[in-house]
Amino acid sequence: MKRYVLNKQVRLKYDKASDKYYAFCIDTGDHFNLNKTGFTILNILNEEKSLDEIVTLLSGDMIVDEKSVLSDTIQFLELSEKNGIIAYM
Amino acid sequence: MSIDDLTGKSNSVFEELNYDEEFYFQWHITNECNLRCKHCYHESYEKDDVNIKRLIEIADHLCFALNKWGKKGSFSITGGEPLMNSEILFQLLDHLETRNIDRIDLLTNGTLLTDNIIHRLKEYKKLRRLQLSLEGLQDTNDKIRGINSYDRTFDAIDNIKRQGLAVSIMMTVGRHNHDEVIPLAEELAKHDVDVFIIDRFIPEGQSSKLTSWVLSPEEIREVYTKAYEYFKRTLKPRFLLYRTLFCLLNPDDHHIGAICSVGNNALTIMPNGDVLPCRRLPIVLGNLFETTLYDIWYTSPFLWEIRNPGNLKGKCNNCEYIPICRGCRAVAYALKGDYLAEDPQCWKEK
Repeated sequence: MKRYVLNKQVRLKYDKASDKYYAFCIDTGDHFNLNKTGFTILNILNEEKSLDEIVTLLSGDMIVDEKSVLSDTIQFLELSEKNGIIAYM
Repeated sequence: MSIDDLTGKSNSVFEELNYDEEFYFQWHITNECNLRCKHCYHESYEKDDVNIKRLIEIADHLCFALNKWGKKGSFSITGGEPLMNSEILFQLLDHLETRNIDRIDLLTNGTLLTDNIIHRLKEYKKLRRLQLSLEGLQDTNDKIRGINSYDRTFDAIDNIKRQGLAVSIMMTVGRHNHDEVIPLAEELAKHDVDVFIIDRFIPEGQSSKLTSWVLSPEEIREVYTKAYEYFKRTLKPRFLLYRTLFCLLNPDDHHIGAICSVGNNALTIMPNGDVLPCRRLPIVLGNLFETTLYDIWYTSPFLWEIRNPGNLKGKCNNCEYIPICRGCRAVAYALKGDYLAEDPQCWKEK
C-alpha cells in the first residue's frame, strides 16, 4: 500500500532552547520551520502509519473534530511533499 | 492545526543567528609547511594528497551553501603553508574567482612569496589581502618562527606593498611577547602595513606544552587596553579588534569586540575535508567527502549545544555581553577541557 514517507535526506529537529521545530534537507540545504503538530506528523511518518492512523493519533490530542484534522493533515502532507520533505511511495 | 509555518520564511534559530551577512570559511588546503613555529596549533605537517579536483569539489560545496543561505562568503585560504604547491593554489584561486565569493585572504608565512607570485596574486580581484605573521620584535619573533624570519617577513611585506597589494600581520599574543605588541605595531607602521591582528595564544597542537605562555586575565586586559588606545590614536596600521573580550573595554564601540563565531557564522575546513567549528577548537564535526555541509551545520549536536548561550557556564552564563561576546570557546576548551566553560581569560567580575 502506498503511503507518505519522510525523505531520506530530511532530518527533524526540536530545539529545546528556542522551543522551535525544524525539518532540514541535508542535500539541498532547505530548512523549514514547523509547528509542533507538523513536527509530530512527520515523526509519525517514520513509524509507517497510515493516514487514518495519523488522524486518529492526532485527534486524541486535540479539541477539534476528526474531519478537520483529516483535512488539515492532508493539506500539510501535500505541502510537505511539494517541498520535498516527504514522498508518496 | 496550522500549516502556515511550513514555508521556510518565518524566523528560525538560523535567522536569529544571522549576526552578520557574511559567512567565514578558514580553509586549510594543506598540512605541509616549511616552518616549524613553536606556537603553532597544527598537530602534524605530513605531506598530504592535495589535488585540485578535491579542492574544487570542496569549493563548490561551500559556494552552493553560501548561495543557499544568501550569505557573502569570506574565505581565508591557508595551510600549513598554502604556497607549498603554488600551482595548485593558483588553480584554486582561478576557480574561486568565478564563484559567488565576496573576498579571499591568503594566510601565508611569506617565505615563498617571490616577485612573480605576488604579481600573479595581484590579478585576483577577490583577493583582499595577504596575511603574514610576526610574533614580536626580531629576537622574540626569530626564537619562535626561526632565524632570519623577521627580516624575511619584512622583505615580503615590502614586496607586497611595492606591488600594490594590501597586507595584514597576525601576532599571537602570550606571556612571551605581550610587551612587544605596541613596539611591533610601530614597526609595522613604518612599512605601511594595512592591518594588525592580535589573537590570544592557545596551547594546542605543537604548542600544547607551552601553558606558561598563556596570559592571565589581567595581562590580557592590559594588552587589549593598549591595543585599543593605539587604535584610537592611529589607523597606521589599523588594529583589527573584532575579537571576544574586547567589548569589555567599551561595549558601545562597534569597532571593537565580536561574538564568538563558533556555530554562528564560521567554519574551518581541513585538508582532508574535515570540518571544525574553529581551527583552534579541534573537534571534528564531519567530513565533506562523507556528508554535506548542510548535514553538519544543521544536525551537529555540538553546534546546537554551543549555539544556546544558556549552556555557557560560569560567568559567561547570563553575562550581559552574551550578544556581543560569549567568550572564546577554543580557549575554554584548551585550558579547561570544556568548550562551554567560562572564558578563563575574561577579566570581568561576576
